[in-house]
Amino acid sequence: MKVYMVTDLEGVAGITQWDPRHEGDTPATAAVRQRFGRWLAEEVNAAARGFFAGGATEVIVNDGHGAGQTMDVELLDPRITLFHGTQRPDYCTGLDETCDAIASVGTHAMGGTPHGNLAHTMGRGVRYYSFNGIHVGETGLQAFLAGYYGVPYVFCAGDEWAVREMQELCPGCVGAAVKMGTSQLSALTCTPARAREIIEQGAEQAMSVIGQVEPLDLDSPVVFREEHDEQRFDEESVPPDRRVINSHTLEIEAETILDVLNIKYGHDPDWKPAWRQQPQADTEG
Amino acid sequence: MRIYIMTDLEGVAGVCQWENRDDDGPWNTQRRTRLSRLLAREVNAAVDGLAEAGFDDIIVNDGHGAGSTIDYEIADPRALYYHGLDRPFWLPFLDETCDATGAVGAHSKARTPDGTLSHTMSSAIRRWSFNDIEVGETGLQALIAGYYGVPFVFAAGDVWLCREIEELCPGCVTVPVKYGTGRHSALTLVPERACEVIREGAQRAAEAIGRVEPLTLESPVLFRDERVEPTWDEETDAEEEGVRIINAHVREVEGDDLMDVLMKMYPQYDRDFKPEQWRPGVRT
Repeated sequence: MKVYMVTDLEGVAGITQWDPRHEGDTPATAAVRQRFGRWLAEEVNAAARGFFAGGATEVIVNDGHGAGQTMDVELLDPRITLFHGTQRPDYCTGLDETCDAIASVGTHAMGGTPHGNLAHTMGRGVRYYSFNGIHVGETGLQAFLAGYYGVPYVFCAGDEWAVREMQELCPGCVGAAVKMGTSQLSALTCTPARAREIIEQGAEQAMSVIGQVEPLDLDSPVVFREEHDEQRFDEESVPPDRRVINSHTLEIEAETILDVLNIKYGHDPDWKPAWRQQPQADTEG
Repeated sequence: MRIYIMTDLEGVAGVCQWENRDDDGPWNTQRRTRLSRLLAREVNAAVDGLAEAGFDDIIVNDGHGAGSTIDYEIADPRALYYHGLDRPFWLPFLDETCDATGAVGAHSKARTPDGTLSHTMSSAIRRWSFNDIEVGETGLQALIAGYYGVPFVFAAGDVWLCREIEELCPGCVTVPVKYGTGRHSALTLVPERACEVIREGAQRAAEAIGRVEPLTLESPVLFRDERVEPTWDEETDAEEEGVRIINAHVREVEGDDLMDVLMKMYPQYDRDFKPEQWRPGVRT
């Protein structure tokens, strides 16, 4: 059983402030960032322990926050395989039909969620993302992409509001609520240590809902829409494969969500990871 | 049994200097890291004692400064912690569901002679009173608790704060961890000893529940807000309903009850914000 885990920072217990990675490199920001990297890594470890205890044989972790290398790799459970870095070749590298489940750790609610702690969708200033009219945050987007591969979203660790969001989108998935936001920058939280216990327990339970939770499904064609607070688009200068609805709103229509994301992020649709190409090369040789 | 603990930094043993949040240098960063640890250890000592006293539901408000001062890597996992900025209220989750409230790291009110790092909210405030009852931050916490019928039973901090709150809430348990001798000096217990006495005091906090009357105010509530510097303008600020400008230093705010007055003092707060009784856990 192979589990794909996407991580983010804002839903980690004990964190209520934005990652100060753009605030200058000072001893103070360094201390905060090191602490956050440790806390994220330990929540990831806790989830991995739960997945392995529940029957997983492989856990791939996608270091999804910010610059793509947020978690402290020195602390990671050696059974984990980590995908990290920037300039990624596709949206969720390693997520495909060979996975049995997708999960998220450090999850925050979608932009605009009342009381959601550090709630946002991708960048700040995004009003919403939607697929075929269904509003999603970052994690909802990932669950839809997983659904394209027939992979169910089974586990959400993070802010209470993120857990509710994902349980509504993917009924039957297991949540591990480690804090409850009371505003953008405030929350009631358990300590990192207690969060790890809850996450481990929830992750183990999540393995038992594989096969029960339906993978998310989107009818073709898939219409993706993004709306921004600020004016971002020019009706008279429309980029290829896109529709400018107005200066705040853009649409991409394509056959599948994978096509949509490849257009959105400019990824090469023919790219396949080497580890997928390898078996083919072997048989040909 | 639920208790709500407010925390601050200035009343922690070993602290006699303001926290500097503007200096990002290595020395100050180390200092701030130590302050977070000292506060967390006192909070842990209180949580330990309170748990022993029978409190199985402990909410700690990380109240100082930027709202995230406690070192959560060492914080006792039996408590929940409220932290962060842009809060919907000063003391969210303190309401009628609590059996008691208390404070750790508490300091005396502004202008307390010899009170270490004495102040009320900020250096701008000279004196606060509600219906002629003079309060500092801890007194205001006791009043908010009293509004919900909750008694203030436990305080750890500067001896002058302990005396201040004993007078307002007779019968509460106080744990002086230092003896202020001026705004920036104190005779202090070392952190380890302070934690021992805080644990011992917290163990006795439950006994004070029946003994201490919730601190309440009669309606209408008159808040008197005195500032160090000339702040109010008699010609323009008086236009707000319920606000009277006495002179450039002093204004009075009148309301039906304490919450009414607080919402006039802090327009950014949301009176209707009623958080759920949240507990962390696995959701299926």
